[in-house]
Amino acid sequence: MNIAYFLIKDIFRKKLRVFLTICGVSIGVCVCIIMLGIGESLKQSFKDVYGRNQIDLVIQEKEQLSILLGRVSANLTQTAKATPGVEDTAAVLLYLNKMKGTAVPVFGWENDSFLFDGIEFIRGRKPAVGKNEAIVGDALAKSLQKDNESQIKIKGESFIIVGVFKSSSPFEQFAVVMPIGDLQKAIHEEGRVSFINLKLKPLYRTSFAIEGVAKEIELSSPLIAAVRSDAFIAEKSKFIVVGEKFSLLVSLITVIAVALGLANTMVTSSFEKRKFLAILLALGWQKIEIATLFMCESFIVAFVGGIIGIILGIKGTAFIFSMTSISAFVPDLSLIFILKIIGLILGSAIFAAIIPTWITLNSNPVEIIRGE
Amino acid sequence: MNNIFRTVNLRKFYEQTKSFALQDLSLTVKKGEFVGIKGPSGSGKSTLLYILAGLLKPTSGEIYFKEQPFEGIKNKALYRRHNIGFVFQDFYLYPNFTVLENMLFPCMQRLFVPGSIIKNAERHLESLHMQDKRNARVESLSAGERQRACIARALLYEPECIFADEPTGNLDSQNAKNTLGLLKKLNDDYKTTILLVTHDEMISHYAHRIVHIIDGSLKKE
Repeated sequence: MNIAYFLIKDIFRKKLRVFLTICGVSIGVCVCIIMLGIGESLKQSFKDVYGRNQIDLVIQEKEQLSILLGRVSANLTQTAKATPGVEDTAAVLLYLNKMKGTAVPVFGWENDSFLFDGIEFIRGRKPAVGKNEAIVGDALAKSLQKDNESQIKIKGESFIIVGVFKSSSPFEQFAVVMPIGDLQKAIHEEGRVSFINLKLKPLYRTSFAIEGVAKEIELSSPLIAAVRSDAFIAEKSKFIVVGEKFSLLVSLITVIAVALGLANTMVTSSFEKRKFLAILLALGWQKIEIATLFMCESFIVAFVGGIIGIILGIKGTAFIFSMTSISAFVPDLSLIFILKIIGLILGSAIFAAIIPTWITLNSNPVEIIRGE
Repeated sequence: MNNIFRTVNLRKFYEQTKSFALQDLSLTVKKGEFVGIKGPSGSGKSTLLYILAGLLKPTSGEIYFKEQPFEGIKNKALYRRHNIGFVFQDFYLYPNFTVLENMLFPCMQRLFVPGSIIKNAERHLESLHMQDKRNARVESLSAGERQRACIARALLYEPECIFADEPTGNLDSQNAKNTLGLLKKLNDDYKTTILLVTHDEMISHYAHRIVHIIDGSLKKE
């Protein structure tokens, strides 16, 4: 028998109220996961690709924010390769294709691109150049399998699916990859690429050296910018997640609503127990112990609601998104993101406990005992 | 006998009612004494108990606990926990919890309640003939049993002093007699000092002495 036993037994004495509060917390946490999780998973997705392939620099069109609209000459790949310090290059052409009402990213990669090292083939093989072949991510393959489709159409041109791959990036999981030349031809953008990834030699992986290589590459054309991969991720993911700020605002409002709901439950609970709490003070409990009691009570309710909310957020949204055929955005949440959500829940719990603690500790126990 | 409590010219003024609950009250209680405190409603009897328990601050006057100034006790909660056991008229047992769980409330703030305290609680339940009610929910108890559970709770830390605020107020005469008898037995067996506020005339058969408080002042002993 201990304080936890007392708290749990006491909390679940009012089953309906606790149930409704836990539901409120769960839904609030779930909303936060959905709102923040989409942006987070997209950013994570980019980071995964760039981190996994050890990309140091990215050549892109100068002052072009959109990853979809930016184009640079494919010839720059050779120029970049010849720059001292550059170990390897990987040109990428990105196109967003409409499939079954959903925007599916289509990547054009060079056949010998190191980007192929970052994906794992589940079945099939690499697409051959000039044969209208493509490979698809696992999530997209499952979606296509439902409709028994073995090929995809891009601007009226058909591409046979010859392989399925798995990627740690959810963005790639729902993507199509094909030889860059075939994609250029299909979308009528011969000789153009979206951006070029650069891997530097180990000796050039210092901040100073990276800046030097970037400057040298930029000298080759006034229309391009060579940016560090982390800056590229930050810029592009900010643009892609247009509603990131809005998501943050909605999440903040949700967290406040959760905290107020929890505080309401805690205040009601404290008013119900006020006589009992006064008795505890008379029996020798210290005020700090009463405050701890509220804090623990609030934490337990928030914790249970939070865990359910996190599970709902991760599993539930996957289900919802799969129903709305936007499964590219199934949240793939990092531990740090989950810890942030747990931090928000605990913050709400502390806020919710402060009010009843303040009310109780500022009331006169003798007056409460006497019922005045 | 040594003094356990001594008050000198104790005054308590309530701002809300603009009246004195206690006026120049000087009282000495010896260790092991059973003192009955009588007086009309609102005369200041309970106020005296709550001041001696450190739950209320006097407006003026001096208090000594074991001849040490009361102001010297920095942590009044710990003082109450280890020296005072409270018995209330309305029992204040927490519903949905068993008798034993209610008994353990004074130490429930701990992460784990030591087995020795649980054993102690069970021993007290036995001495109060409540052992068979150990796991009974308090709602299922009769008024007399509830008051015995309340006394058992007060005994958990084996305090030197029990403050009973009208403990027989909600009991029939037989249960009132039993409750007073129990408190008397505690006083006889363990030399527990008892300060009992009551209107009950039966108190004269149990207490060593009766003090009368009228309009906040001690009238006679």
